[in-house]
Amino acid sequence: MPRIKRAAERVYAWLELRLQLEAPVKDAILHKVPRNTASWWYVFGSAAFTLLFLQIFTGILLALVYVPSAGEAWNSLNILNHQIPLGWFLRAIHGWGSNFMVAVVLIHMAQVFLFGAYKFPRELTWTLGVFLLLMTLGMAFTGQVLRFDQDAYWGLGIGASIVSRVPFAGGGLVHLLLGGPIIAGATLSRFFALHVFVIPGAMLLFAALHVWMVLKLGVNEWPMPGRLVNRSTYLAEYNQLTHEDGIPFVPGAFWKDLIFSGAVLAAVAVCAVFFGPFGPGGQPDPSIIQTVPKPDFFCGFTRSCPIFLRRWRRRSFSLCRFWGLRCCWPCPFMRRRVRKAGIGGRLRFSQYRPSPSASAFLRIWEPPRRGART
Amino acid sequence: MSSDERNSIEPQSVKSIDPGAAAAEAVTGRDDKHVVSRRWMLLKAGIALNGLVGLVLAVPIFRYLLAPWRKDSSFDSWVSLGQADAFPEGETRLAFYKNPFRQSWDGETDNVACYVRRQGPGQFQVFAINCAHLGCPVRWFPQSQLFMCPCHGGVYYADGERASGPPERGLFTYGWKVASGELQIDAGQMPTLSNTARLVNIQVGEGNYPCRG
Repeated sequence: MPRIKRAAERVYAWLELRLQLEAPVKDAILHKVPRNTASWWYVFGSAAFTLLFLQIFTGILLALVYVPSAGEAWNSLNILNHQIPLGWFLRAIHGWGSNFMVAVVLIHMAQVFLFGAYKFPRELTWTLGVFLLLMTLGMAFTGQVLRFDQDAYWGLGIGASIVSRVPFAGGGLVHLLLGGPIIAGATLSRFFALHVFVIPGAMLLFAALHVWMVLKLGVNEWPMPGRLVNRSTYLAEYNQLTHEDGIPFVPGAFWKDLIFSGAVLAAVAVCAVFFGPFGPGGQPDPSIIQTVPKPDFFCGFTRSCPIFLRRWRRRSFSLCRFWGLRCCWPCPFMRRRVRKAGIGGRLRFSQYRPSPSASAFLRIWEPPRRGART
Repeated sequence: MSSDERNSIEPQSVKSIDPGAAAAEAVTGRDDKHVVSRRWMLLKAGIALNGLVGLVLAVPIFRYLLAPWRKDSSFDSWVSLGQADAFPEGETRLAFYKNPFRQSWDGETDNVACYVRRQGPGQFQVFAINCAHLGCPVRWFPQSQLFMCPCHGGVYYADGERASGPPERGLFTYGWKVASGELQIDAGQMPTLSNTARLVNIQVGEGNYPCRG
């Protein structure tokens, strides 16, 4: 045994001399986090990261069989479901993994919001996180398109109808979205490219920067009702806090991350086994009109999300209607001196509305409702 | 090689490196204006070259990406729905056609449906299947003489006018003409608010299209 240990040490030394990864990795895993934020409330971000890699892994495995062609996609999914051994299980994991990822990302965002963790100096982390949420939802939508069935087909029709409401450029944008005049082969090909290359690439880059900033700026301290964030003293106060009452990230906080991520992966697998894969539903033939297109849950959820906001214009077609962008992106830039209220403190959602000019900028267009009686 | 020899070589080699090290120091210390300016000039030339090549490459790349962005009129074509007399008077029937712009890998997606309403001889209305709200397929209910949308409850009268629900307007219509006994419609792209809303409807003669032939 000691000989094997010595050999392993020699291999490690050989690698370390060339890679020189030990110091930065030690810096990252041993950085101090405030003792009371090594908490179960802080496990959702790492779970989202784990799910991202589950999705990449299972996605690659599905791409070994899936045919990204409008004429063949539906057949190849049925072959995955019924003929390839455990193909149904991989599809189920990828589908349930996507649902879990949307849910975990939304919980992560709610936690960050309620704990005031998006405030100075973590505004950019939050902003990247909002884009990561948009990309997660974009992955969910494009993934639903790749499940090329009737719901996917008419979901694309809904997407095209929404895009057509953009003033002046609407017609051209519809052509760009669909890759041609109608929903057809070119549409599926470009959504495949988006789902497999474009969005995941951007997501990996953004997630890397997001985690980098979490490491550099430190995990948010536990919020206290009434405590204000003072920009000139915050960094010094935070450093003092982590020095006096901090514990190393590994293992102090990391064991909770690990256990929660494992539990989430297990939950995905259990759902996959018991509930099976999503679809595909009926074949994507638009001449079959006896169909009731149903959106996936995240579309409905993001539509109902903004009801928390006061004076919400319910019928407007703004970006926020679908992605919650207007209500979440500008949060850190709303007020200069900010209270870290926390869940114990008073929460007033209405104070997080952006200024009228910002909302005008973010609104796309509300179509005129001719002859509407409301 | 003896240890003495090695010792005698080392100082020399160090000496031979010295001028280079001095030059490097000069770069950081900016003592030698010639060396500094030439290196920075070459770096800027490299950036400029890459910028120029990038710009030259960007033009065809954008042209390629924007290839589907075409004028609506470039998709318009006359498509036959079969013999005009096959549509009974006073009824609304579902009709199908193959979209004129198609690829071999489109599968079933280029089957397009539409509703043909024949009010009388030479009197047609051809409605798109897509709801004016968000494009879902509306269904015709002859019992109630209404088109209804399964998605968000849009309802239209038999003549395509909006009856209730979220749509801002009536059903999209195709321009049509009867040529050598065949009912032809002006189709080619998915009707949306940004293209079909602008179509003109001229209700004269045999057809409702300005250039009926």
